[in-house]
Amino acid sequence: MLKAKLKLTREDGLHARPAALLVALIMKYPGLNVLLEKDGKEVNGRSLTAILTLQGEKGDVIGFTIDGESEDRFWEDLEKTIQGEVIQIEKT
Amino acid sequence: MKKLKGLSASPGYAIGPAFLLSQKDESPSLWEKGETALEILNEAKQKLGKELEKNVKETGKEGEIFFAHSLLLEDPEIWERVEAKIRAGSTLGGALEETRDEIVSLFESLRDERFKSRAEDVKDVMGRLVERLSESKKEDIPPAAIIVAEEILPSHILSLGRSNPKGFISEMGSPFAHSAIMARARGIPMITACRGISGVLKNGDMVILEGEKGEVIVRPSQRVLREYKRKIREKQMEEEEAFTKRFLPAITRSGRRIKVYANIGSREEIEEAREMGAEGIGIFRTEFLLFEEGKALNKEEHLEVYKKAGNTFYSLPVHIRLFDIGADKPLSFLQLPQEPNPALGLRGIRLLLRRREILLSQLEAIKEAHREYPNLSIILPMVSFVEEIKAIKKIAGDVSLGIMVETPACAILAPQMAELADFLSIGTNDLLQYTLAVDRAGKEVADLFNPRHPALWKLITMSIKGARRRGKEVGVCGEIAGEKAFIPRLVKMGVEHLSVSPRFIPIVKHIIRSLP
Repeated sequence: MLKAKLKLTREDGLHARPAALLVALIMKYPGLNVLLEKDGKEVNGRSLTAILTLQGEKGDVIGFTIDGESEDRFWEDLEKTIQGEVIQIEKT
Repeated sequence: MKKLKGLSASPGYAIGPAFLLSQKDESPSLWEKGETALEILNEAKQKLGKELEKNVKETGKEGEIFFAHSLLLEDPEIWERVEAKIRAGSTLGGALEETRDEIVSLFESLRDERFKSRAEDVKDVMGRLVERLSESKKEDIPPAAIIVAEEILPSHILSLGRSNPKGFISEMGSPFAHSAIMARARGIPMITACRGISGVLKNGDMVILEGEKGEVIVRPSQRVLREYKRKIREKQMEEEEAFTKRFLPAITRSGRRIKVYANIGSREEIEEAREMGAEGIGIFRTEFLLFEEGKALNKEEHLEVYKKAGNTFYSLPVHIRLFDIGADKPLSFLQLPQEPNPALGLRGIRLLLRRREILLSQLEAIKEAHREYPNLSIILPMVSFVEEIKAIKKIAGDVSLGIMVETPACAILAPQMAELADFLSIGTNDLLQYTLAVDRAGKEVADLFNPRHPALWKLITMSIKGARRRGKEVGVCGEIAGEKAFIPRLVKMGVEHLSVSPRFIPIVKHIIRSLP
């Protein structure tokens, strides 16, 4: 199991577009459980609606819990996305 | 013949046969229960998934919406609920409807408008699924029809594109919904919140839709039909003539010249305004630059835009309105306090005086651009105290300073305000909202937002007189400045300029030329 805290650094936080791209990434790993947490509220990373209800804005810190098959590969993939243009997240 | 009223979502006239999209078809699949219901559901989801993939490919940039929809189709938050309800004995249709309502109300409880509006996506995806399950004996939609539905969703506008619809009318829905934006972009007239429309219509009934007024005429008489056909032809001819003369000044028959300026909110519109014959920029809504970018612009970026406007219009006036932001137009990077009544809260000049760093960075950019382009000036939003003008005057240097007349207080004190300000521009939308105490965006009171109210006109008169007594230029920049019904009256009352959206400039000039 992997745990990390990431800070949203883009203006559009976890709005529709970045949230959709994150969900699409998680969907590529069917054997993996990804949970996102903000202010004590924890949601399933495969659910776009649940992620949107977190209302992640720029500056918010999102906790990730990653559990299951190919955790490490997913983490690398996520980091690639992070460093790319899509969802800029900064580890805390 | 029957007349119904709704809200204008996309302007223009349309005439055509009605076609009712039924969204609540009685259908056997939706009554299924248990395992059968689950199987039918999965099959329908798979098919819809493929359709969405196709939509994504077909639509390019707009297709992002359908990409999000395809993710919703696999969203456990939604489908675990549906399945649980079916396992607990609910019908397929019932489970879908209940879940949709639950998820939608979940979104509606969110405070941020941009997150809130995503409820529309859930409605659209689940609606498409229900449509698919309704064993659609979909009759072919006749070409050039006026589509009538409970609610018009983005997928309707796309999927109906092939039958080339003339117009859209919905029972519910907001004129600010995504579907309305799509209709406007396609130039198709649309009316929303037209309650009772599907009850008075059947397929094939002739319908006239008047987009600007939000009016629908059902089964018009031959006389009315002829009249509207003539109106459409005349409007086209008038627009063509107006367009060819767009660069000529607008002078009334008695020789009074009325200047026609543009209201703009983006870099691109600077060029567009000039192309459409604007004689200046009446209002540059600079806060729209921020919404577009989603971040605070740095000084160089401001400067570049202001210089471009100054250069494009050169000797003609460009009124740069200071950011009109507040809790009603939230910006994520600003962290504004939540207010129970944002329209009456910290917005416009009030906010700027409280948050000096925002004010000063914008002002510095304007002052610097002004050194090169003296045609630039400042206009203040939401003034209600004389002191607000004084405060800006102290720091505005030699840039001339105008004010928006948007509150009754400002109109009533017009002579005092005009003593301090260099020019006045009457913003009739907010002035009407504050005079009537009617929310301009409120769905429930939309019918009360009536620009014919005599109180508004008294305040306009006071503003014009106040400005002219002090020898200051006065104009109107609200919606009514672009409306045929109001222009004659405004001109007669003595306004010196009208400021409208770039695309209305040719026709406004044309109307002025016909006045005595």
